[in-house]
Amino acid sequence: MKDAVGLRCTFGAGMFPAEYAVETMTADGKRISLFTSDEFLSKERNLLMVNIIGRAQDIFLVRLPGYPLEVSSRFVNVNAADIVEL
Amino acid sequence: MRQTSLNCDPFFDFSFPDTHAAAVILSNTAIQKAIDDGRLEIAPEPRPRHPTPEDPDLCPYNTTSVDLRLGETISVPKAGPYAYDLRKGGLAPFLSDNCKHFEITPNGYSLAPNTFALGSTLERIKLPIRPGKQSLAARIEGKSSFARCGLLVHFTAPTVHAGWDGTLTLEMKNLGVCAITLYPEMPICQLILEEVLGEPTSNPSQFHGQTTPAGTS
Repeated sequence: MKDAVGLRCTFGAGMFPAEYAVETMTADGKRISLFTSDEFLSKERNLLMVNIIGRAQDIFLVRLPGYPLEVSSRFVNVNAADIVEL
Repeated sequence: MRQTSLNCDPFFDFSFPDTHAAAVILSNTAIQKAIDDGRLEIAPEPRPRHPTPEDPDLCPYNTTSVDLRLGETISVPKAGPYAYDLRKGGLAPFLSDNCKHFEITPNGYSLAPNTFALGSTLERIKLPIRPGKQSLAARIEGKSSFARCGLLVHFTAPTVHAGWDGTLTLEMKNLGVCAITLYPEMPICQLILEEVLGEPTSNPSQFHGQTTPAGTS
């Protein structure tokens, strides 16, 4: 994933052996989750790889590697404190 | 901008920007050319490209589609005293914790009537979006042989958007009156490729230059 940064997350087994269920938090405190493959996870550091699209003060707009189940867009706002350099 | 019109009927005037006359479904030869040109990746690549006298049934191409095969695992949600609530967080781990995985053995997996299961394609599909190049989107559809037995392989999410990269999840349900045996690597669905009119802007560059995250300004 080009120019990716890490977004703090928790993860566990997904519905298929080759996928993981990932949960993270948006800037407004909403829990969102998605399924992704391990190529988008840093499992040792509990980070989901995302792309930063924009920033306003302490909020980043990021593009997730897949579509979350709870919202209709893969572009979400997250807190800057949850973003980690890979 | 010059326009191309398809005046099939005097009451309608379908006008498109002249870059492409219309979005179209790809033929089998156009699918193969798209693979050769890198506009479409299917891994492993469906083979053979043409029927052979030795095994004419082996060719996965129809005139306007290519067959995809069933992967080796299916996932069956467990019934329980709970409701799926998409407004609450954590649905992906919840779904994962409340399903059973089954490895489809060479002897097959028997999908009982009225059973819902998730499967996935063996093949990984990639529909790259490349600046200045025409993109492809796709749909998965069932196969008529399975349809006659009552098997749905999708019922609400057939679209594979331009930019997709991954296997395709199959929403399977046996609507028939008897069990249907599923085998790994059996042709389970067909992929129909369509050209996308205009250049999709789902890549991050569409947001370059903005100063506030979308929806918060």
